[in-house]
Amino acid sequence: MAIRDPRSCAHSAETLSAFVDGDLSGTEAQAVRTHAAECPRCTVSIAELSALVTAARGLERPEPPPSLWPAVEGAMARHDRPWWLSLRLFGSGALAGAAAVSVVALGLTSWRTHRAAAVVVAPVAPVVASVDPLLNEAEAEFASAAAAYERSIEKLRGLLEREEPRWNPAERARCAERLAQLDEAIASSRELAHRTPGDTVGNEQLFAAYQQKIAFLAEAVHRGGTFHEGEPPR
Amino acid sequence: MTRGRQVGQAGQVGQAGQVGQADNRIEISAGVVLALLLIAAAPARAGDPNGGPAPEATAPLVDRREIVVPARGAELVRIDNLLGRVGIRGTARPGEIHIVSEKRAANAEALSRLRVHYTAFESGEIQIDTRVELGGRERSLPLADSGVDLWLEVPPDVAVEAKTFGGDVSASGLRAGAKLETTGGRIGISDVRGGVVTHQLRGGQKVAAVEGDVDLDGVEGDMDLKDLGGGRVDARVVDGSIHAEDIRDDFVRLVTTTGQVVLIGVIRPAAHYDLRSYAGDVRFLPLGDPAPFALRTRSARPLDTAVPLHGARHDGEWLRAEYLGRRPAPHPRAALVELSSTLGGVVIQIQPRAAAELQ
Repeated sequence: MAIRDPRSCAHSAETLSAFVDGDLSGTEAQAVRTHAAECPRCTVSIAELSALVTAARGLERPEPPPSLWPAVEGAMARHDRPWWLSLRLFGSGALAGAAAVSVVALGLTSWRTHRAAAVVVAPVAPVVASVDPLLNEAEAEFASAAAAYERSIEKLRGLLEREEPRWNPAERARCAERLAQLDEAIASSRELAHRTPGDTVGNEQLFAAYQQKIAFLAEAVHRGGTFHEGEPPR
Repeated sequence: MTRGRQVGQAGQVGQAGQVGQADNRIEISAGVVLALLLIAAAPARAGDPNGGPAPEATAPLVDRREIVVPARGAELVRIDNLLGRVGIRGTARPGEIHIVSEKRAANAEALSRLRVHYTAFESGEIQIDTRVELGGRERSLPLADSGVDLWLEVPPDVAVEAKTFGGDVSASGLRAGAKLETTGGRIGISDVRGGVVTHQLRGGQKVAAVEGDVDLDGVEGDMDLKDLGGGRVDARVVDGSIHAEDIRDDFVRLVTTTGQVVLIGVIRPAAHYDLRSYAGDVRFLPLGDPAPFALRTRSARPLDTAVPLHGARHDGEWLRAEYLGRRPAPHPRAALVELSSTLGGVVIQIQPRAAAELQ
């Protein structure tokens, strides 16, 4: 596994954006996944783009107030009535129309406010417990896989602790620095994956980050403190 | 951006499609839909092939459907099924793909939300994927109690890529290689020509009768390799053992962190064998009358072998030596054998052919 110069990344921001949107073909998406598994910078970029997409998804369908449609329907019904009936009911019809316009205006204002707030403040509303059994199944599957990755990482950390005392301080520092980078990638991926229930892309990024750390730990355990990622075996 | 259109969908044939794709991937023809042969069975309770009353109220509903889709000019079949298992066999006639999908769910409402999509692209790529409808959107999500299993027969000469989440994935009879990926399912590969690549979190892998490069990657679970021949075999697992037998590649690297590595078979002249374990034993068991090899080994315990080694010398923590063979070597180059176990032992034992065949 090699640490790549981010300037040499094969994937542009447009490609990563298309990947997050699900617009790449399977082959192209796999190429991005493979690359991201070895490139912390692209992992973080994908995590950030996923956050934007997640935030945008929350804006796609603003929930109208329950009273909106009845109010609009009422206004339309009034429009179809004979002119003399309209005249007779002018007072209440005008009130209904005004209410409908007010509600729409309020809805738009609320949507615009929400949108502005979401663009400025990146965090999305926290995950609310799902009532959909299929979504719960999916979340349980993701959680089970994440736990398996965590167990493997813990096991490898235990083995690494046995090896590290044999290393010199510079080697230990280099290893600690790399692990901190990987932990950061895992933490940001985990945060994103947990924001939206059933976020497959977010969870795949989290698993890619776990795999990256597992590969690093396994190499460090096998080769000791002198190894460099991407080197052929001694 | 041109959007590839779904041209067939098991259980949803003819419905509006999905799938954003790259510019050069456009739909082949909506007319393909007409060519689909769809044999749809009414939902039935599991374990009741006649669709009669369920033996138990808790048995899931099952909806089994079979489709034959045209695949003329297909070069790659990609299957993404996070909802269940995938089995692929290279037994279909050229230009055809047989798909059997088996959906299962606790009730009819959940069953109706499971979808299978089939998309063909002009590039020669065919994509089959499964989704679950959630909140008005179709999403690719892993499911356990509910789900979709896919069984495919594809033309042998198409490359195959398959991905599952918790379901097993298997491939056999293919002649253009396979790439299989799963998070928690078992992987099984047999009778494949062409490169084989796997990725797995847990579940174990069995790979047999492959003519081509093999690259296996796993975190938890044992790997069982048998009858492989091609350029190279590279198998890596963190928490599991690797057992390899009858490997005819020129480069063989088997690496595990916690498990044991065992290699049984004929030593090829000039080949490179690199067997490593951090915590487990490494057992190198050449068959019959092995070709000469140069040995480089290190282990926590003394080397366990009755094989006559020559020129033994230490190079740091490594021991180097040569095995010259029982007869003068007909080949100018000896094999290179590297065996390493940081906490375990290394064993080299020549196996009589008959005994090895019995194992």
